[in-house]
Amino acid sequence: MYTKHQQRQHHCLWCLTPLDTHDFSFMIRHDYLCEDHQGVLITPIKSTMITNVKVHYFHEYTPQIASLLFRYKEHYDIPLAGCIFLPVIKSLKKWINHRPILIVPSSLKKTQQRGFIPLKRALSVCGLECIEALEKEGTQDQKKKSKHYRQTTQFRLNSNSDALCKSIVLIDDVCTTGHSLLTCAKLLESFGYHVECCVFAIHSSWINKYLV
Amino acid sequence: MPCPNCKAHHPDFFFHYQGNVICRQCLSVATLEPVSVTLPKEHLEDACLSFELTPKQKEVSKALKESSSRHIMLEAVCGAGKTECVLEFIIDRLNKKQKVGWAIPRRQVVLELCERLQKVIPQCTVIAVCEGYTQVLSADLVLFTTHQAFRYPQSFDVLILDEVDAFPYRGNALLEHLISQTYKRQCVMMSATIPYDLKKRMSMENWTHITCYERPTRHPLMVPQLIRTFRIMMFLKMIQLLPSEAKWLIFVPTHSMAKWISLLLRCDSLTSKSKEKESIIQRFISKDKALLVCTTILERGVTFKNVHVIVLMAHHHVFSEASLTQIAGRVGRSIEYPKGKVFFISSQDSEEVNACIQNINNANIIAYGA
Repeated sequence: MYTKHQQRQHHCLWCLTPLDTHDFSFMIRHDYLCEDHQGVLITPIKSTMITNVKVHYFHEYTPQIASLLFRYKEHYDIPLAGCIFLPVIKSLKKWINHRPILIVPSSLKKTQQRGFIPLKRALSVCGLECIEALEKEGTQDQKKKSKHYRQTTQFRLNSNSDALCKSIVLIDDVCTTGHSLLTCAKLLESFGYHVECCVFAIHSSWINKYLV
Repeated sequence: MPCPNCKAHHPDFFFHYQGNVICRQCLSVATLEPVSVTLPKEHLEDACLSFELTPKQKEVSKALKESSSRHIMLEAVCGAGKTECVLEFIIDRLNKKQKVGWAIPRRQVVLELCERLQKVIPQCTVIAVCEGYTQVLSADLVLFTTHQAFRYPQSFDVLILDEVDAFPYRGNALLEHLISQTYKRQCVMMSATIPYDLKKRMSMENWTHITCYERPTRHPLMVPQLIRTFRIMMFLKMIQLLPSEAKWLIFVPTHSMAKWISLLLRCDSLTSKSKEKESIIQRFISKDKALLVCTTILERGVTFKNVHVIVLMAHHHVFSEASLTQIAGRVGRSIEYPKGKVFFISSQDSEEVNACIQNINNANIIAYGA
Protein backbone atom coordinates (compact mmCIF):
# COMPACT_ATOMS: atom_id res chain seq x y z
CA MET A 1 0.00 0.00 0.00
CA TYR A 2 1.11 3.54 -0.66
CA THR A 3 0.83 4.42 3.03
CA LYS A 4 4.06 2.53 3.56
CA HIS A 5 5.93 5.33 1.79
CA GLN A 6 3.54 8.21 1.69
CA GLN A 7 1.48 9.89 4.39
CA ARG A 8 -2.22 9.99 3.75
CA GLN A 9 -3.15 13.03 1.67
CA HIS A 10 -6.42 14.94 1.62
CA HIS A 11 -5.37 17.02 -1.38
CA CYS A 12 -3.94 15.98 -4.72
CA LEU A 13 -0.17 15.99 -4.44
CA TRP A 14 0.15 17.65 -7.84
CA CYS A 15 -2.69 20.19 -8.15
CA LEU A 16 -3.72 20.50 -4.47
CA THR A 17 -7.42 20.06 -5.21
CA PRO A 18 -9.31 18.35 -2.38
CA LEU A 19 -9.62 14.61 -2.83
CA ASP A 20 -12.94 12.86 -2.49
CA THR A 21 -12.70 11.04 0.80
CA HIS A 22 -15.23 8.28 1.00
CA ASP A 23 -15.52 5.27 3.29
CA PHE A 24 -13.50 3.01 1.02
CA SER A 25 -10.71 5.43 0.19
CA PHE A 26 -8.27 3.40 2.29
CA MET A 27 -8.66 0.58 -0.24
CA ILE A 28 -7.55 2.74 -3.16
CA ARG A 29 -3.87 2.67 -3.83
CA HIS A 30 -3.40 6.05 -5.47
CA ASP A 31 -5.58 8.32 -3.38
CA TYR A 32 -2.88 10.95 -3.08
CA LEU A 33 -3.65 12.05 -6.66
CA CYS A 34 -6.88 13.40 -8.13
CA GLU A 35 -8.59 11.39 -10.86
CA ASP A 36 -7.21 13.55 -13.67
CA HIS A 37 -3.62 13.25 -12.50
CA GLN A 38 -3.94 9.55 -11.78
CA GLY A 39 -4.82 9.25 -15.47
CA VAL A 40 -1.68 11.14 -16.41
CA LEU A 41 0.82 9.55 -14.05
CA ILE A 42 -0.24 5.92 -13.80
CA THR A 43 1.13 4.30 -16.89
CA PRO A 44 2.90 1.04 -17.76
CA ILE A 45 6.62 0.91 -18.46
CA LYS A 46 7.49 1.12 -22.15
CA SER A 47 10.71 0.91 -24.10
CA THR A 48 12.40 2.48 -27.09
CA MET A 49 15.83 2.52 -28.72
CA ILE A 50 18.23 5.45 -28.55
CA THR A 51 21.16 4.85 -30.88
CA ASN A 52 21.29 1.10 -30.24
CA VAL A 53 20.66 1.38 -26.50
CA LYS A 54 17.34 0.13 -25.17
CA VAL A 55 15.80 2.71 -22.86
CA HIS A 56 12.71 2.10 -20.73
CA TYR A 57 10.45 5.02 -20.00
CA PHE A 58 7.14 5.92 -18.41
CA HIS A 59 6.02 9.19 -20.03
CA GLU A 60 6.43 11.26 -23.12
CA TYR A 61 8.02 14.61 -22.29
CA THR A 62 4.83 16.67 -22.74
CA PRO A 63 4.41 20.27 -21.52
CA GLN A 64 2.41 18.92 -18.57
CA ILE A 65 5.17 16.54 -17.51
CA ALA A 66 7.75 19.27 -18.15
CA SER A 67 5.90 21.65 -15.86
CA LEU A 68 5.71 18.99 -13.15
CA LEU A 69 9.46 18.42 -13.30
CA PHE A 70 10.16 22.14 -13.48
CA ARG A 71 8.08 22.79 -10.38
CA TYR A 72 9.79 19.94 -8.55
CA LYS A 73 13.37 20.60 -9.59
CA GLU A 74 13.52 24.37 -10.10
CA HIS A 75 10.87 25.63 -7.68
CA TYR A 76 11.93 23.05 -5.10
CA ASP A 77 8.37 21.83 -4.54
CA ILE A 78 9.73 18.81 -2.72
CA PRO A 79 6.44 16.96 -2.00
CA LEU A 80 6.13 16.47 -5.77
CA ALA A 81 8.76 13.75 -5.37
CA GLY A 82 5.72 11.52 -4.78
CA CYS A 83 4.44 12.23 -8.30
CA ILE A 84 7.51 10.90 -10.11
CA PHE A 85 7.97 7.21 -9.49
CA LEU A 86 5.42 6.49 -6.76
CA PRO A 87 2.42 6.18 -9.13
CA VAL A 88 4.35 3.58 -11.17
CA ILE A 89 6.11 1.92 -8.27
CA LYS A 90 4.76 -1.57 -9.00
CA SER A 91 6.05 -1.76 -12.57
CA LEU A 92 9.27 0.03 -11.63
CA LYS A 93 10.09 -2.43 -8.83
CA LYS A 94 9.26 -5.37 -11.08
CA TRP A 95 11.60 -3.99 -13.74
CA ILE A 96 14.41 -3.21 -11.27
CA ASN A 97 14.18 -6.72 -9.82
CA HIS A 98 16.47 -6.05 -6.82
CA ARG A 99 19.35 -4.80 -8.96
CA PRO A 100 21.45 -1.87 -7.68
CA ILE A 101 20.19 1.53 -8.85
CA LEU A 102 22.47 4.25 -10.20
CA ILE A 103 21.23 7.71 -11.06
CA VAL A 104 22.52 10.12 -13.69
CA PRO A 105 24.08 12.88 -11.56
CA SER A 106 23.49 16.64 -11.68
CA SER A 107 26.40 19.07 -11.45
CA LEU A 108 27.80 19.64 -7.97
CA LYS A 109 26.89 23.32 -8.13
CA LYS A 110 23.27 22.58 -8.96
CA THR A 111 23.03 19.95 -6.21
CA GLN A 112 24.42 22.39 -3.65
CA GLN A 113 22.05 25.09 -4.85
CA ARG A 114 19.03 22.81 -4.54
CA GLY A 115 20.03 21.23 -1.28
CA PHE A 116 18.57 17.90 -2.41
CA ILE A 117 19.00 15.42 -5.26
CA PRO A 118 15.63 15.25 -7.05
CA LEU A 119 16.03 11.74 -8.45
CA LYS A 120 17.32 10.32 -5.19
CA ARG A 121 14.41 11.83 -3.29
CA ALA A 122 11.86 10.62 -5.86
CA LEU A 123 13.22 7.09 -5.46
CA SER A 124 13.50 7.24 -1.68
CA VAL A 125 9.79 8.18 -1.46
CA CYS A 126 9.15 4.79 -3.06
CA GLY A 127 11.47 3.06 -0.58
CA LEU A 128 14.21 2.59 -3.19
CA GLU A 129 17.80 3.43 -2.37
CA CYS A 130 20.25 4.49 -5.06
CA ILE A 131 24.03 4.44 -5.17
CA GLU A 132 25.75 7.69 -6.09
CA ALA A 133 28.58 6.07 -8.00
CA LEU A 134 28.63 8.56 -10.88
CA GLU A 135 29.88 12.13 -10.80
CA LYS A 136 29.52 14.88 -13.32
CA GLU A 137 32.60 16.84 -14.33
CA GLY A 138 32.25 20.63 -14.64
CA THR A 139 29.79 22.91 -12.96
CA GLN A 140 27.75 24.43 -15.77
CA ASP A 141 24.00 23.96 -15.78
CA GLN A 142 22.92 21.39 -18.39
CA LYS A 143 19.96 23.37 -19.71
CA LYS A 144 22.15 26.39 -20.48
CA LYS A 145 24.25 24.33 -22.88
CA SER A 146 23.64 23.80 -26.57
CA LYS A 147 23.29 20.30 -27.97
CA HIS A 148 26.90 20.40 -29.14
CA TYR A 149 28.26 21.40 -25.74
CA ARG A 150 26.10 18.84 -23.97
CA GLN A 151 27.92 16.18 -25.95
CA THR A 152 31.17 17.26 -24.32
CA THR A 153 29.82 16.67 -20.79
CA GLN A 154 31.87 14.02 -19.06
CA PHE A 155 31.09 11.69 -16.18
CA ARG A 156 33.35 9.60 -13.96
CA LEU A 157 32.98 6.72 -11.53
CA ASN A 158 33.80 7.35 -7.88
CA SER A 159 34.72 5.04 -5.02
CA ASN A 160 31.05 4.10 -4.40
CA SER A 161 31.25 1.94 -7.52
CA ASP A 162 33.30 -0.66 -5.62
CA ALA A 163 30.09 -1.97 -4.05
CA LEU A 164 28.34 -2.57 -7.39
CA CYS A 165 27.54 -5.98 -8.79
CA LYS A 166 27.67 -6.83 -12.50
CA SER A 167 24.06 -6.08 -13.45
CA ILE A 168 22.84 -2.57 -12.67
CA VAL A 169 20.06 -0.18 -13.59
CA LEU A 170 20.61 3.44 -14.56
CA ILE A 171 17.80 5.92 -13.91
CA ASP A 172 17.32 9.50 -15.08
CA ASP A 173 14.39 11.90 -14.94
CA VAL A 174 14.35 13.27 -18.49
CA CYS A 175 15.92 12.12 -21.72
CA THR A 176 15.93 14.84 -24.40
CA THR A 177 19.10 14.57 -26.47
CA GLY A 178 19.94 11.32 -24.72
CA HIS A 179 23.57 12.33 -24.30
CA SER A 180 23.90 12.17 -20.51
CA LEU A 181 22.15 8.83 -20.27
CA LEU A 182 24.11 7.22 -23.09
CA THR A 183 27.47 8.58 -21.88
CA CYS A 184 26.85 7.17 -18.41
CA ALA A 185 25.66 3.84 -19.83
CA LYS A 186 28.73 3.55 -22.08
CA LEU A 187 31.06 4.50 -19.24
CA LEU A 188 29.59 1.78 -17.03
CA GLU A 189 29.71 -0.76 -19.84
CA SER A 190 33.38 0.07 -20.41
CA PHE A 191 33.98 -1.05 -16.82
CA GLY A 192 32.29 -4.36 -17.59
CA TYR A 193 28.87 -3.73 -16.07
CA HIS A 194 25.65 -4.87 -17.70
CA VAL A 195 23.47 -1.71 -17.75
CA GLU A 196 19.75 -1.21 -18.36
CA CYS A 197 18.38 2.32 -18.58
CA CYS A 198 15.11 3.84 -17.47
CA VAL A 199 13.83 7.41 -17.55
CA PHE A 200 10.75 9.08 -16.13
CA ALA A 201 10.06 11.05 -19.32
CA ILE A 202 11.48 10.87 -22.81
CA HIS A 203 11.35 13.32 -25.72
CA SER A 204 8.67 12.43 -28.26
CA SER A 205 11.18 12.19 -31.14
CA TRP A 206 12.72 9.09 -29.56
CA ILE A 207 9.30 7.45 -29.20
CA ASN A 208 8.10 8.10 -32.74
CA LYS A 209 11.31 7.09 -34.50
CA TYR A 210 12.22 3.91 -32.74
CA LEU A 211 9.02 2.47 -31.30
CA VAL A 212 9.65 -1.06 -30.10
CA MET B 1 -0.74 28.52 11.59
CA PRO B 2 -2.31 29.55 8.27
CA CYS B 3 -0.21 30.90 5.42
CA PRO B 4 -0.17 34.71 5.67
CA ASN B 5 -0.76 35.06 1.91
CA CYS B 6 -3.22 32.41 0.82
CA LYS B 7 -4.65 31.55 4.28
CA ALA B 8 -4.11 27.83 3.59
CA HIS B 9 -3.92 25.89 6.84
CA HIS B 10 -4.12 22.20 5.92
CA PRO B 11 -0.83 20.31 6.53
CA ASP B 12 -0.91 19.01 2.93
CA PHE B 13 -0.07 22.52 1.75
CA PHE B 14 3.17 22.88 3.71
CA PHE B 15 6.62 21.30 3.79
CA HIS B 16 9.95 22.00 5.43
CA TYR B 17 12.85 23.15 3.28
CA GLN B 18 16.21 24.19 4.75
CA GLY B 19 14.67 25.06 8.10
CA ASN B 20 11.75 27.05 6.66
CA VAL B 21 8.10 26.13 6.35
CA ILE B 22 7.06 26.60 2.72
CA CYS B 23 3.49 26.98 1.45
CA ARG B 24 3.07 24.98 -1.75
CA GLN B 25 0.21 27.15 -3.02
CA CYS B 26 2.32 30.29 -2.87
CA LEU B 27 5.53 28.64 -4.07
CA SER B 28 5.03 28.95 -7.81
CA VAL B 29 3.81 32.51 -7.39
CA ALA B 30 6.80 33.76 -5.44
CA THR B 31 9.41 32.54 -7.87
CA LEU B 32 8.24 34.22 -11.08
CA GLU B 33 9.38 37.60 -12.34
CA PRO B 34 6.63 40.23 -12.65
CA VAL B 35 5.53 41.29 -16.14
CA SER B 36 5.73 44.93 -17.15
CA VAL B 37 2.62 46.18 -18.98
CA THR B 38 2.83 48.79 -21.78
CA LEU B 39 0.78 51.95 -22.38
CA PRO B 40 -0.83 53.06 -25.68
CA LYS B 41 1.55 55.17 -27.78
CA GLU B 42 -1.15 57.56 -29.02
CA HIS B 43 -4.13 59.31 -27.47
CA LEU B 44 -7.15 56.99 -27.64
CA GLU B 45 -10.40 58.12 -29.26
CA ASP B 46 -13.83 57.03 -28.07
CA ALA B 47 -14.76 53.35 -28.32
CA CYS B 48 -16.06 52.31 -31.78
CA LEU B 49 -19.44 50.98 -30.70
CA SER B 50 -22.03 50.11 -33.34
CA PHE B 51 -24.79 51.54 -31.11
CA GLU B 52 -25.24 54.45 -28.78
CA LEU B 53 -25.24 53.99 -25.04
CA THR B 54 -28.58 54.41 -23.29
CA PRO B 55 -28.97 57.38 -20.90
CA LYS B 56 -28.63 55.00 -17.95
CA GLN B 57 -25.43 53.50 -19.36
CA LYS B 58 -24.03 56.99 -19.97
CA GLU B 59 -24.86 57.90 -16.38
CA VAL B 60 -23.04 54.79 -15.09
CA SER B 61 -20.08 55.44 -17.37
CA LYS B 62 -19.82 59.05 -16.17
CA ALA B 63 -20.05 57.99 -12.52
CA LEU B 64 -17.23 55.50 -13.05
CA LYS B 65 -14.99 58.06 -14.75
CA GLU B 66 -15.51 60.64 -12.04
CA SER B 67 -15.06 58.28 -9.12
CA SER B 68 -11.70 58.42 -7.40
CA SER B 69 -12.38 55.87 -4.67
CA ARG B 70 -10.11 52.84 -4.43
CA HIS B 71 -12.91 50.29 -4.61
CA ILE B 72 -15.90 50.66 -6.90
CA MET B 73 -18.69 48.12 -7.07
CA LEU B 74 -20.71 48.10 -10.26
CA GLU B 75 -23.89 46.12 -9.73
CA ALA B 76 -25.81 45.65 -12.96
CA VAL B 77 -28.31 43.07 -14.08
CA CYS B 78 -27.32 40.48 -16.68
CA GLY B 79 -27.26 42.04 -20.13
CA ALA B 80 -27.23 45.62 -18.80
CA GLY B 81 -24.06 46.31 -20.78
CA LYS B 82 -21.46 46.39 -18.02
CA THR B 83 -18.66 45.99 -20.55
CA GLU B 84 -19.85 48.96 -22.61
CA CYS B 85 -20.22 51.09 -19.46
CA VAL B 86 -16.64 50.40 -18.46
CA LEU B 87 -15.13 51.12 -21.89
CA GLU B 88 -15.10 54.91 -21.51
CA PHE B 89 -13.63 54.55 -18.04
CA ILE B 90 -10.80 52.36 -19.42
CA ILE B 91 -10.06 54.76 -22.28
CA ASP B 92 -10.06 57.69 -19.86
CA ARG B 93 -7.59 55.98 -17.52
CA LEU B 94 -5.32 54.82 -20.37
CA ASN B 95 -5.24 58.38 -21.71
CA LYS B 96 -4.19 59.51 -18.23
CA LYS B 97 -1.22 57.12 -18.58
CA GLN B 98 -2.59 54.66 -16.06
CA LYS B 99 -2.07 50.97 -16.75
CA VAL B 100 -5.28 48.97 -16.91
CA GLY B 101 -5.88 45.24 -16.44
CA TRP B 102 -9.07 43.21 -16.65
CA ALA B 103 -9.37 40.06 -14.57
CA ILE B 104 -12.12 37.50 -15.11
CA PRO B 105 -12.42 34.12 -13.37
CA ARG B 106 -13.57 32.26 -16.53
CA ARG B 107 -11.21 31.46 -19.39
CA GLN B 108 -13.98 31.29 -21.97
CA VAL B 109 -15.11 34.81 -21.06
CA VAL B 110 -11.57 36.16 -21.30
CA LEU B 111 -11.20 34.88 -24.86
CA GLU B 112 -14.58 36.15 -25.99
CA LEU B 113 -14.15 39.57 -24.40
CA CYS B 114 -10.65 39.98 -25.82
CA GLU B 115 -12.04 39.69 -29.36
CA ARG B 116 -14.79 42.19 -28.60
CA LEU B 117 -12.45 44.73 -27.02
CA GLN B 118 -9.91 44.54 -29.83
CA LYS B 119 -12.69 45.60 -32.23
CA VAL B 120 -14.00 48.49 -30.14
CA ILE B 121 -10.59 49.92 -29.12
CA PRO B 122 -8.54 49.31 -32.30
CA GLN B 123 -5.75 51.80 -31.43
CA CYS B 124 -4.88 49.81 -28.33
CA THR B 125 -3.29 46.35 -28.24
CA VAL B 126 -5.49 43.92 -26.32
CA ILE B 127 -4.35 40.45 -25.31
CA ALA B 128 -5.87 37.49 -23.48
CA VAL B 129 -3.72 35.71 -20.93
CA CYS B 130 -5.12 32.38 -19.80
CA GLU B 131 -4.45 28.67 -20.11
CA GLY B 132 -3.09 28.04 -23.61
CA TYR B 133 -2.51 31.75 -24.24
CA THR B 134 0.62 32.65 -22.29
CA GLN B 135 3.10 33.40 -25.08
CA VAL B 136 2.46 37.17 -25.05
CA LEU B 137 2.05 38.67 -21.59
CA SER B 138 2.43 42.39 -22.12
CA ALA B 139 0.08 44.77 -23.97
CA ASP B 140 -1.79 48.07 -23.52
CA LEU B 141 -4.81 46.25 -22.16
CA VAL B 142 -4.38 42.82 -20.61
CA LEU B 143 -7.34 40.52 -20.03
CA PHE B 144 -6.44 37.61 -17.82
CA THR B 145 -8.02 34.85 -15.80
CA THR B 146 -7.73 35.33 -12.05
CA HIS B 147 -5.36 32.33 -11.98
CA GLN B 148 -2.87 34.34 -14.07
CA ALA B 149 -2.79 37.24 -11.58
CA PHE B 150 0.49 35.91 -10.18
CA ARG B 151 2.23 37.25 -13.29
CA TYR B 152 1.20 40.85 -12.59
CA PRO B 153 2.12 41.94 -9.05
CA GLN B 154 1.67 45.73 -8.82
CA SER B 155 1.54 45.86 -12.63
CA PHE B 156 -1.66 47.88 -13.01
CA ASP B 157 -2.91 51.22 -11.77
CA VAL B 158 -6.50 50.22 -12.37
CA LEU B 159 -7.98 46.74 -12.30
CA ILE B 160 -11.39 45.72 -13.60
CA LEU B 161 -12.50 42.59 -11.78
CA ASP B 162 -15.40 41.10 -13.70
CA GLU B 163 -17.79 38.49 -12.27
CA VAL B 164 -16.50 38.74 -8.70
CA ASP B 165 -18.84 36.02 -7.54
CA ALA B 166 -17.82 33.42 -10.11
CA PHE B 167 -16.04 30.14 -9.60
CA PRO B 168 -13.07 29.68 -9.12
CA TYR B 169 -12.34 33.18 -7.78
CA ARG B 170 -15.13 33.28 -5.24
CA GLY B 171 -14.05 31.89 -1.89
CA ASN B 172 -10.48 31.19 -3.02
CA ALA B 173 -8.22 33.03 -0.58
CA LEU B 174 -5.11 32.63 -2.75
CA LEU B 175 -6.75 34.15 -5.82
CA GLU B 176 -8.21 36.97 -3.74
CA HIS B 177 -4.75 37.69 -2.36
CA LEU B 178 -3.14 37.59 -5.82
CA ILE B 179 -5.76 39.93 -7.26
CA SER B 180 -5.33 42.37 -4.37
CA GLN B 181 -1.61 42.53 -5.24
CA THR B 182 -2.10 43.46 -8.90
CA TYR B 183 -3.39 47.05 -8.67
CA LYS B 184 -2.09 50.26 -7.13
CA ARG B 185 -4.94 52.79 -7.41
CA GLN B 186 -8.40 51.54 -8.24
CA CYS B 187 -10.34 48.33 -8.54
CA VAL B 188 -13.73 48.19 -10.23
CA MET B 189 -15.65 45.06 -9.31
CA MET B 190 -18.58 44.04 -11.45
CA SER B 191 -21.32 41.48 -11.17
CA ALA B 192 -25.03 40.97 -11.47
CA THR B 193 -25.12 38.84 -8.36
CA ILE B 194 -23.04 40.30 -5.56
CA PRO B 195 -22.63 37.89 -2.66
CA TYR B 196 -23.75 38.88 0.82
CA ASP B 197 -20.25 38.99 2.36
CA LEU B 198 -19.02 41.37 -0.34
CA LYS B 199 -22.06 43.60 0.16
CA LYS B 200 -21.26 43.70 3.87
CA ARG B 201 -17.63 44.62 3.16
CA MET B 202 -18.80 47.25 0.70
CA SER B 203 -20.91 49.03 3.31
CA MET B 204 -18.27 48.69 6.04
CA GLU B 205 -15.43 50.07 3.93
CA ASN B 206 -17.55 52.71 2.16
CA TRP B 207 -16.95 51.54 -1.38
CA THR B 208 -18.54 53.48 -4.23
CA HIS B 209 -21.64 51.56 -5.26
CA ILE B 210 -22.99 52.12 -8.77
CA THR B 211 -26.09 50.26 -9.92
CA CYS B 212 -27.77 49.61 -13.26
CA TYR B 213 -30.93 47.50 -13.23
CA GLU B 214 -32.02 48.47 -16.71
CA ARG B 215 -31.19 46.60 -19.89
CA PRO B 216 -30.49 48.55 -23.11
CA THR B 217 -33.31 46.59 -24.72
CA ARG B 218 -35.70 48.42 -22.31
CA HIS B 219 -37.35 45.07 -21.69
CA PRO B 220 -37.52 43.54 -18.22
CA LEU B 221 -35.46 40.50 -17.38
CA MET B 222 -37.08 37.22 -18.32
CA VAL B 223 -38.62 35.68 -15.21
CA PRO B 224 -37.95 31.93 -15.12
CA GLN B 225 -40.89 29.60 -15.27
CA LEU B 226 -40.59 26.89 -12.64
CA ILE B 227 -41.80 23.43 -13.62
CA ARG B 228 -42.09 20.93 -10.77
CA THR B 229 -42.34 17.33 -11.81
CA PHE B 230 -41.29 13.83 -10.77
CA ARG B 231 -37.65 12.96 -11.15
CA ILE B 232 -38.22 10.46 -13.95
CA MET B 233 -40.50 12.87 -15.81
CA MET B 234 -37.98 15.71 -15.95
CA PHE B 235 -36.34 14.58 -19.17
CA LEU B 236 -39.68 13.99 -20.91
CA LYS B 237 -40.88 17.40 -19.79
CA MET B 238 -37.77 18.93 -21.28
CA ILE B 239 -38.36 17.19 -24.64
CA GLN B 240 -41.91 18.49 -24.58
CA LEU B 241 -40.67 22.06 -24.08
CA LEU B 242 -38.19 21.94 -26.95
CA PRO B 243 -39.90 23.07 -30.14
CA SER B 244 -37.93 22.96 -33.38
CA GLU B 245 -37.46 26.73 -33.49
CA ALA B 246 -34.57 28.92 -32.27
CA LYS B 247 -31.56 28.01 -30.16
CA TRP B 248 -31.78 26.33 -26.80
CA LEU B 249 -29.19 26.10 -24.08
CA ILE B 250 -29.82 23.18 -21.77
CA PHE B 251 -28.00 23.55 -18.46
CA VAL B 252 -27.33 20.37 -16.52
CA PRO B 253 -25.51 19.99 -13.20
CA THR B 254 -22.82 17.41 -14.05
CA HIS B 255 -20.37 16.45 -16.81
CA SER B 256 -21.73 12.92 -17.12
CA MET B 257 -25.29 14.16 -17.40
CA ALA B 258 -24.23 16.60 -20.14
CA LYS B 259 -22.64 13.72 -22.01
CA TRP B 260 -25.69 11.44 -21.77
CA ILE B 261 -28.26 14.08 -22.61
CA SER B 262 -26.26 15.28 -25.61
CA LEU B 263 -26.16 11.68 -26.83
CA LEU B 264 -29.90 11.28 -26.39
CA LEU B 265 -30.70 14.60 -28.07
CA ARG B 266 -27.99 14.13 -30.72
CA CYS B 267 -26.48 17.56 -30.13
CA ASP B 268 -23.21 19.08 -28.88
CA SER B 269 -22.29 19.29 -25.23
CA LEU B 270 -19.95 21.76 -23.60
CA THR B 271 -18.28 21.18 -20.25
CA SER B 272 -14.95 22.21 -18.76
CA LYS B 273 -13.61 18.86 -20.01
CA SER B 274 -14.61 19.47 -23.65
CA LYS B 275 -11.59 19.69 -25.89
CA GLU B 276 -12.79 22.01 -28.66
CA LYS B 277 -14.73 24.57 -26.67
CA GLU B 278 -14.29 27.44 -29.14
CA SER B 279 -15.41 25.41 -32.15
CA ILE B 280 -18.48 24.05 -30.29
CA ILE B 281 -19.53 27.60 -29.43
CA GLN B 282 -18.87 28.81 -32.97
CA ARG B 283 -21.01 25.97 -34.34
CA PHE B 284 -23.82 26.90 -31.98
CA ILE B 285 -23.61 30.59 -32.90
CA SER B 286 -23.54 29.92 -36.64
CA LYS B 287 -26.79 27.90 -36.66
CA ASP B 288 -30.33 29.34 -36.54
CA LYS B 289 -31.73 26.29 -34.82
CA ALA B 290 -29.55 24.37 -32.43
CA LEU B 291 -29.35 22.68 -29.07
CA LEU B 292 -26.37 22.85 -26.75
CA VAL B 293 -26.16 20.90 -23.53
CA CYS B 294 -23.78 22.54 -21.09
CA THR B 295 -22.77 22.76 -17.47
CA THR B 296 -22.41 26.03 -15.57
CA ILE B 297 -19.37 26.81 -17.78
CA LEU B 298 -21.72 28.92 -19.95
CA GLU B 299 -23.63 30.49 -17.08
CA ARG B 300 -21.99 33.91 -17.47
CA GLY B 301 -20.01 36.20 -19.73
CA VAL B 302 -21.35 34.81 -23.00
CA THR B 303 -23.91 36.41 -25.32
CA PHE B 304 -25.99 34.47 -27.84
CA LYS B 305 -28.69 36.00 -30.02
CA ASN B 306 -32.22 34.61 -29.85
CA VAL B 307 -31.49 31.92 -27.30
CA HIS B 308 -33.82 30.19 -24.85
CA VAL B 309 -32.78 28.36 -21.72
CA ILE B 310 -33.75 25.23 -19.83
CA VAL B 311 -32.18 24.31 -16.51
CA LEU B 312 -32.58 20.62 -15.83
CA MET B 313 -32.52 19.59 -12.15
CA ALA B 314 -32.57 23.23 -11.09
CA HIS B 315 -32.73 22.09 -7.45
CA HIS B 316 -29.23 20.54 -7.71
CA HIS B 317 -26.69 22.06 -5.30
CA VAL B 318 -24.48 23.10 -8.24
CA PHE B 319 -27.07 25.72 -9.18
CA SER B 320 -26.78 28.47 -6.60
CA GLU B 321 -28.97 31.54 -6.56
CA ALA B 322 -26.27 33.57 -8.34
CA SER B 323 -25.70 30.85 -10.86
CA LEU B 324 -29.41 30.56 -11.72
CA THR B 325 -29.74 34.35 -11.99
CA GLN B 326 -26.82 34.42 -14.42
CA ILE B 327 -28.29 31.55 -16.45
CA ALA B 328 -31.64 33.34 -16.73
CA GLY B 329 -29.71 36.43 -17.80
CA ARG B 330 -28.48 34.70 -20.99
CA VAL B 331 -31.93 35.24 -22.53
CA GLY B 332 -33.06 38.42 -24.27
CA ARG B 333 -29.68 40.13 -24.42
CA SER B 334 -29.80 41.40 -27.99
CA ILE B 335 -31.87 44.34 -29.16
CA GLU B 336 -33.32 42.30 -32.07
CA TYR B 337 -34.49 39.55 -29.71
CA PRO B 338 -35.24 41.14 -26.35
CA LYS B 339 -37.49 38.29 -25.20
CA GLY B 340 -37.05 34.60 -24.65
CA LYS B 341 -38.03 31.64 -22.55
CA VAL B 342 -36.43 30.43 -19.33
CA PHE B 343 -37.56 27.17 -17.75
CA PHE B 344 -36.32 25.71 -14.49
CA ILE B 345 -37.23 22.03 -14.30
CA SER B 346 -37.00 20.68 -10.80
CA SER B 347 -38.18 17.69 -8.82
CA GLN B 348 -37.70 19.26 -5.40
CA ASP B 349 -38.44 22.52 -3.72
CA SER B 350 -35.32 24.68 -3.67
CA GLU B 351 -34.62 27.88 -1.78
CA GLU B 352 -32.04 28.89 -4.38
CA VAL B 353 -34.57 28.66 -7.21
CA ASN B 354 -37.16 30.65 -5.27
CA ALA B 355 -34.60 33.29 -4.29
CA CYS B 356 -33.47 33.62 -7.91
CA ILE B 357 -37.02 34.20 -9.17
CA GLN B 358 -37.61 36.66 -6.33
CA ASN B 359 -34.40 38.56 -7.18
CA ILE B 360 -35.28 38.87 -10.86
CA ASN B 361 -38.76 40.12 -9.98
CA ASN B 362 -37.26 42.67 -7.56
CA ALA B 363 -34.78 43.92 -10.18
CA ASN B 364 -37.63 44.35 -12.67
CA ILE B 365 -39.66 46.28 -10.11
CA ILE B 366 -36.72 48.61 -9.34
CA ALA B 367 -36.04 49.24 -13.04
CA TYR B 368 -39.50 49.38 -14.51
CA GLY B 369 -41.80 49.58 -11.51
CA ALA B 370 -43.85 46.62 -12.68
